[in-house]
Amino acid sequence: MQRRDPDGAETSAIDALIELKGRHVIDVGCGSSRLTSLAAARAGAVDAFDPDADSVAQAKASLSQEARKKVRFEVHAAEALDVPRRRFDVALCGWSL
Amino acid sequence: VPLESVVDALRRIHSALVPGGLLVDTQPLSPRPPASADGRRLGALDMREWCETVAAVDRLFDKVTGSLYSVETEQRFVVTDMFDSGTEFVESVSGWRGTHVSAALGERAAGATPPLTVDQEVRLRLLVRR
Repeated sequence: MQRRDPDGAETSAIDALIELKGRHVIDVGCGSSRLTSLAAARAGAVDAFDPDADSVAQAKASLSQEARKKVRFEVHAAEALDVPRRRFDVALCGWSL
Repeated sequence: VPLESVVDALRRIHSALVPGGLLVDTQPLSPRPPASADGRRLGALDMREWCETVAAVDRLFDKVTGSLYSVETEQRFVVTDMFDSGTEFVESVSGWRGTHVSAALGERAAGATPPLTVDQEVRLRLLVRR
């Protein structure tokens, strides 16, 4: 099984750089939830999407029940992003643009 | 990667963010990231095509979307990908966009002792919505 960033270098860098507590976060191209997990642990609410349905299913399965309550997952590409204006405080684009 | 779709995505994200909202963008940037197993270097992936794509997106960003975001800060660090077998390594990295695996590296990976790793330099940019 492939594991990306088992040492957490990327999530540690983001965590040190910005305050996610209470924020509304959108995870663009969430993959199998590397950054979604960080956001769900810190933020107030998270919207996460990815064009790959299998990745989204993996992402859902990887979160704890508590974290899962904060996250709304969708399957679509960034070009299909259709959300109300000025809704999110932070957008995470991990290897996705 | 269709560059127009990247610009479109950046515009959509801009619209979705509150004024002063933050965009965290991370991208791998190593043209020849090293692959290793059991502390030994097996060779390097050829990701020059991917790096050209990132450079093209950067140029487009500067021209088209610079008015949407300002770059607050930039950091670089190394992210490791780990694989449980040589077969998995070759199958996975061959599917990465703009990435080529030489036959020689594939052969060395097939006979290597797991875990196999790839170390990539990653750029993190913190952008602020204008």
